[in-house]
Amino acid sequence: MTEDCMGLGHAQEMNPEHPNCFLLEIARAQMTRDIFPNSPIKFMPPTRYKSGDIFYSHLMDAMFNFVGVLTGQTIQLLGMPTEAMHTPLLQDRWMSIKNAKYIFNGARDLSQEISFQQNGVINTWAQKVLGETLKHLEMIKHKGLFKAIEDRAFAEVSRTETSGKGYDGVIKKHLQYLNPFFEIF
Amino acid sequence: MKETKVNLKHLKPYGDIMEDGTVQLCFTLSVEASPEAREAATLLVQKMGFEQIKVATMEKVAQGFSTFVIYGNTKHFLDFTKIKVLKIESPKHSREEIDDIIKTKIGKKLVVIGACTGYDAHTVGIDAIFNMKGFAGDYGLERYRWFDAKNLGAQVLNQDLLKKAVELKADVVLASKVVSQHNIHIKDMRELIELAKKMHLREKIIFIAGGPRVTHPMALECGFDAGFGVGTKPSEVASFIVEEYISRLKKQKRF
Ligand code: B12
Repeated sequence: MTEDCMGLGHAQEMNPEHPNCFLLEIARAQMTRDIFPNSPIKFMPPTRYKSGDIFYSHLMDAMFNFVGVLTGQTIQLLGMPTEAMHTPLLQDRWMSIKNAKYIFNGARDLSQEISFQQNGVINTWAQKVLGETLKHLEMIKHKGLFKAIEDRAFAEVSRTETSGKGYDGVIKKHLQYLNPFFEIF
Repeated sequence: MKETKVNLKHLKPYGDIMEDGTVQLCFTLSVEASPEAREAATLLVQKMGFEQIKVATMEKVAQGFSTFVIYGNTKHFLDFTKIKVLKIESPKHSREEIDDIIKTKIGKKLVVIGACTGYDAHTVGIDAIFNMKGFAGDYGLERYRWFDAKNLGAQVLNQDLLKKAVELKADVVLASKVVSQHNIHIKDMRELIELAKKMHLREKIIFIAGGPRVTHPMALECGFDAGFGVGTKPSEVASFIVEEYISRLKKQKRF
């Protein structure tokens, strides 16, 4: 598969109370863009730190949109004010779209006007994230994928090789197992 | 002249004057944005019991749909002094106090198991209660010396959770429910208690539910001993556990 067909996803999920969180989010988003210049990047909105305060949530989405337009993400998924409540209502979706249009229009060419300081907060953070990611990948390689999944290497969820939903339906195929339907399909 | 002090027997929403009854509303009508749509929205809000209705905006949100932001002043009021809410009344303790209470008054480690049940895969809430590092600066149950705490993770079916409870001789079972679409959380919570009754575990074990759409009264109605909602800290749960355990011990002694 060529690079331009590989869609890569990442999300803006930092604690909004963290000092300088926008700088760190910019660092991650810009880093992702720079490492994969030829791939479409799917940028996903804050969800985990969303609460029932839909007005604050809307503001978080505005800042997420700002990071998105500033760092040139390809596919911007839109956050919903009611993320912590329900699957979005029509008016929630409308608010989100209006929010994104405003920011994507208003800051359209901002990225061409600015650059980040060599040893500033943003670049330093990008280096740190990159280093930790490498370590994580090496750990997965070392343990093997299934063991790593079991040890919560992905999304902090553990799934073991010998249990979990659907395991009942897993059967060992006989050497001469034949399913003519697969051929037909 | 309107009062400047609150009259608890006549409580109304506050905008900028006591008892002005101001409410902001937002809803969508499945008709094209038009003067008729605006009138319809105003009349609907009137029917809801509002006066001095102001349509702040009417937006065309999609073909054939209009969304409104409306301000109105409600006629209704409430006697705040008559309001009763079922709450967890037990006193709150610190982790050190709880460990000490278990050690001196109970004299054995309490076995606490928990999971996010059914097909619900949200582990973050139950982890916040169990994990060492805890939640909002409050250490999780695994950190307590006098709890034997075991978090079974997510997507644990009710029957498996109870089987584990028997196997580990659990004193307390914690169930987390996050997904609430079609009231699945309530169904699963009821089912857990039904099963527990069938297995004669209901009286032996303290059952506690939690999740963003869980409330204490609703958990009680489903047959639990307590329910915890948004922003729960582990020490609040731990406090309830020791208080409930000790009150059960006392009841047993009386018989
Ligand atoms: C992270 C997340 C996920 C992650 C979960 C990862 C993981 N390892 O847990 C992933 C991506 C897997 C996920 C999947 C889905 N999710 Co989700 N998810 C969320 C999200 C963004 C945050 C939840 C969270 O972690 N909160 C943080 C914790 C700390 O808060 P908490 O759970 O409320 O817990 C606190 C209290 O409630 C309490 N508590 C919780 N449990 C317990 C238990 C006990 C015993 C006690 C005492 C206290 C207690 O204490 C905790 C600490 O204070 C929410 C939206 C939101 N912002 O709330 C949606 C949300 C919960 N998800 C939702 C949905 C619909 C899904 C999916 C069904 C999506 C889909 N269509 O596939 C799937 C579900 C799959 C499944 N089988 O369950 C909806 C639920 C809507 C509803 N009301 O039913 C939400 C609200 C998003 C939305 N608006 O649509 N999700």
